[in-house]
Formats: sequence, structure tokens, C-alpha cells
Amino acid sequence: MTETAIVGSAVVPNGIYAQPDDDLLVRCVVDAARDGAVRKEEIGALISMTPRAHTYQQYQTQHVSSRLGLKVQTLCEFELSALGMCNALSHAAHLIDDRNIPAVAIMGCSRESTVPTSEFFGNRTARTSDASFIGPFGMTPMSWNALGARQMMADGEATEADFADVSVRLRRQAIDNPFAYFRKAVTREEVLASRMVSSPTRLLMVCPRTDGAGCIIVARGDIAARQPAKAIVHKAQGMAHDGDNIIPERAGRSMWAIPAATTAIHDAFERSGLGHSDIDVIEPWIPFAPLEVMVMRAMGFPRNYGETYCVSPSGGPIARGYPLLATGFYNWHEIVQQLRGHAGPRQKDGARFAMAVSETGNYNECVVDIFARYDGSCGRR
Amino acid sequence: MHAMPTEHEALENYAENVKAREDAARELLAQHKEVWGEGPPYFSLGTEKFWRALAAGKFYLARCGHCGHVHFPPRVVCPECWAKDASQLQVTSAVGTLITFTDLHVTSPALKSLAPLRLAIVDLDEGVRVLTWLRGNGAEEAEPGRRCRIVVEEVLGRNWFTARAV
Repeated sequence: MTETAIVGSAVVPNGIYAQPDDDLLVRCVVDAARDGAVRKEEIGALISMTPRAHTYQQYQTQHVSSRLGLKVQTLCEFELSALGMCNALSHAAHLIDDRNIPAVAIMGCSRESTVPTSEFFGNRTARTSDASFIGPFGMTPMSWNALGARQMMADGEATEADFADVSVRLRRQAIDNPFAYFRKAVTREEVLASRMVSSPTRLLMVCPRTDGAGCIIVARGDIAARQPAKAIVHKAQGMAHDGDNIIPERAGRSMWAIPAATTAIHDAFERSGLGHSDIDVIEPWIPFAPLEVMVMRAMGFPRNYGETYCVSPSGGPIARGYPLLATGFYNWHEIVQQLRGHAGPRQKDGARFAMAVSETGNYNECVVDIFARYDGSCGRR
Repeated sequence: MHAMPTEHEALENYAENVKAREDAARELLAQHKEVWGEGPPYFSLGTEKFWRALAAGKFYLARCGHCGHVHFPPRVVCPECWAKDASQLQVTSAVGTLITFTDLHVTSPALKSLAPLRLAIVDLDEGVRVLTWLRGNGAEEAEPGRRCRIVVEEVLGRNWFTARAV
């Protein structure tokens, strides 16, 4: 297998954008290529996350490629989702190995501001679970997570204060992130006094829906060697789907256990030869505070993980913002900055190994990606 | 004695069966739309009998005609043995235990007039799980562990299955 690394990364700040998807994407591709010292002619493949329904520009991958003046061997699309992004990352490495392509650009954009909240809850999220037997009852992603949160409380495994403290920590960590939507601290009391959205989940335990876009450049080893202190190696990927989707059909199954996360992290550790204590930074895909408690527990981290591990130094979706399906680019971007030692006040000293957790809660699928510095050293402040 | 069909004849028979099933499905789809409109619930061969019964005021589980696996919601294919007659209706006690619930304050615009709605998971004694609304007397005080019964009631002009605290 040819040696590959992530050499460049770029995202736009979380926000509400008037610019169309393709404008945001072309800027991200150029910025990521410049970040990785990759020339336009070296990009031999462009992978796009399939545009969402709101996107005006159809055949966007070809359109962006043309606007950038690229001449590539391969154009392809992956579903704009947690799984799609992780599959795109693996596919980029395969393209480089199979076709000897010097560099591959992976790009994606999600503009939530173009989808009114009423449509989001009325039409879209209702059909992501069973569209006939679950959706009509008003189920939203917040609700299935809240069902698990209530059961976790009834089982004596967590309290409302535990969930509130997740938001407090994430908002504090996002203060120093220039790409975050919320850069102001909140207190536990403020979180617990905020409006109830799906009990026991309150407004400040939920991510803000934002617009965002990003690009990473995956390249051959000879290109990575140009800037070895900036290149990041994808060490291992673990993946699982547990079979149950949103509501387990058999009685007795837990609503908060998330077995896919347990399986995926074991898979990733087995493939990488690493363990919990090796991981310096974790960036999970977590839109609701109770879900962080569930996922970290499912992955085998201690109850006080927020104090003993560096979890979501970027603020995560709850503070950083949630351009729903482009979230993976923001998790990767934070990991790239942390492993390079470029995260400023957010920097985890000595960061050597980082983990992106792309899990989807009760959809019960999870991908764990482990990254390391290309030159094997530590990213220090 | 019948000769075994050739590979090609078997594929011809398979294609004919698919077409015949599709013809039947089109007739059922038209009937489904007469009751439910464009949905939800959306039309499926696996669930059509269930929704017809519900419209008539009856709640059933589903059973595989091959291995007997009782499940909910009804399926086209049995999730246990993959037999294709998984959607037989199964009479149920409709009694079970409240596992967890959430009060929906933010939900679909179609349900806004009913908010906050109590969304609940009930594990029936037959070993299957049902997601529904918990309504009626005692719903507000119900805690996990409370016994519940699944009933059929009209909500917003349609018959749905809902849970009542027992």
C-alpha cells in the first residue's frame, strides 16, 4: 500500500452564509491545497460529498472541478453523512495506491440555513427513522436521544446536571476556536434553566444548526514529505453498525448503550495497536449533550472523561455549530491543527494520537478514525 | 414426472412472479391512498394488512408464517429466517411496561397543536417494543416501570395506536 497522509485542511467558520455551496467549496479546495503545498496539477481526483437537496447547482462535482480548472482522473461522490465522509477518506487512499494519483481533494458543504426548522422537523428528520411507524409520532433526533437520556437517568447512570456540564465544558472550550459559532461561556444553571425541547434535553444541550464547508487534501508520501511536521497519517479505521435503527425492535434492549460505538473502537484499537491511554485528543460527532455521555461510556472511557481526556477541544457541534452533514470536516480540521501543534490556546500539549468518532447515536452506526503525526513526533505548543 | 426447470426457465418464472406481485401491489396502493392519502403511513406490502386492521380499530403484532417469529412493525421479510411471508397478523395482549419517555416540545408542524406530546417506549409482554404516544389519564404521572396497554384511538382525524397507563 502506498504511503499517504492528510497534508492540507480548510474549513469556513460556522455561520449563516448567503454564498452558494459551490462558492464556499472552491475557496476551501484552494485553501486546503495551499495549506498542504499541493499544486493544482497534482490533484488527480476530486471526491465530493453529494450535495443536499437544497443545493441549486446540480452536477456540482463536475461544476466545481471545472471552476477550479482541474483535470482529474476520477470524480466521485459519497453520501454527505458521517459514514460517507469516513468512506471517502478510505477511498482517497485507495485511489492514490491504485492509480498512483499524487493528491486527492475531498470536499463537502452543508447549509442548514436553507432548510427551515419546520421543514427540517416536519419532513426530513421524521423520515430518517421508520417513516411509517416512528416518524408520524413526531420523532426527531433530539427525541430518540432524550428517550435514551431518560432511561440513563432512571438506571442511575447519569443526572441532568451531568448532561448540562457537557454543554458548559464545550462552550468554554469553543471560546478560543475562530471557527466556532458560540464563543461565550455558559453556566450549569443557565443550561438547566433553558427551554425544554425534548425532556430531559434542554435548548442549551442542543447544537445550533449552521452552515459550513470544508476540504481536506490526501496525498502521496513524497508530497507529505515536503512538510513532514504538517502531514497527518490515518493510522486505522474501525466501523460498525449494530443492526438496530433508532428503536430496537426487541424488548429489553437499552436505549443508551450504543453497541456500535463499543465495537468500532475495539476494531480501531485492534488495527492500530493503540489503547485508550494513547489517545490525546478526541473529536466526536455529538449534536446533543446526553449523547456525549452515552458515546464516551460506550467506548470505554471513564465517567470523568471530561476531566481526564481532551474531548472536543473545538467545542464540538454543540458549541462550534452543526452544519449537519459537513461536521466531519470540522472534526478532521481540529485534529489536524492539534496534531500539528497549531491549535493555539486550545492546544493539547504533546498531542501525538487523535481520534475522530463519527457516530450517529441511535442510528447505531459508528466509525472511529485514529490519526497520528507523519513524522512520529508530538505536536507541542 | 415434471422436468426440473432450466436456469433460464427459473429466471423467467421469477420475473413473472415479480410482475404478478407488482400488479397486486398497485391495486393495494390505490386502496391504501383512499384511506391514508399520500401518507404517512406509507404503502408497503408488508404493512398493508396492519394499517387496514388499524383503520378498523384493531391493533396487531406481526408473525412470520415460516418460523413463527413475532415482531413489530410488520415486515416484508422475516428478520430472523428471511422467509417472505413475515407479515401475518398476530393477536396480542397489547399489555406491557413503560421503558422510557420524552415530552416533545419541538416537533413536526403537523403535531404542533398536540404539543407537548409524551413519546413513549413500551415493551410488550410478547417481547416486542412499540414506540407511540402515551396519552389519557395517568400519562403525566407515569414513570418507567408503569404497566401500559396499547389501544387504538383517533388522533387528528386518523386511527393510531397509542399507549394508556393501566
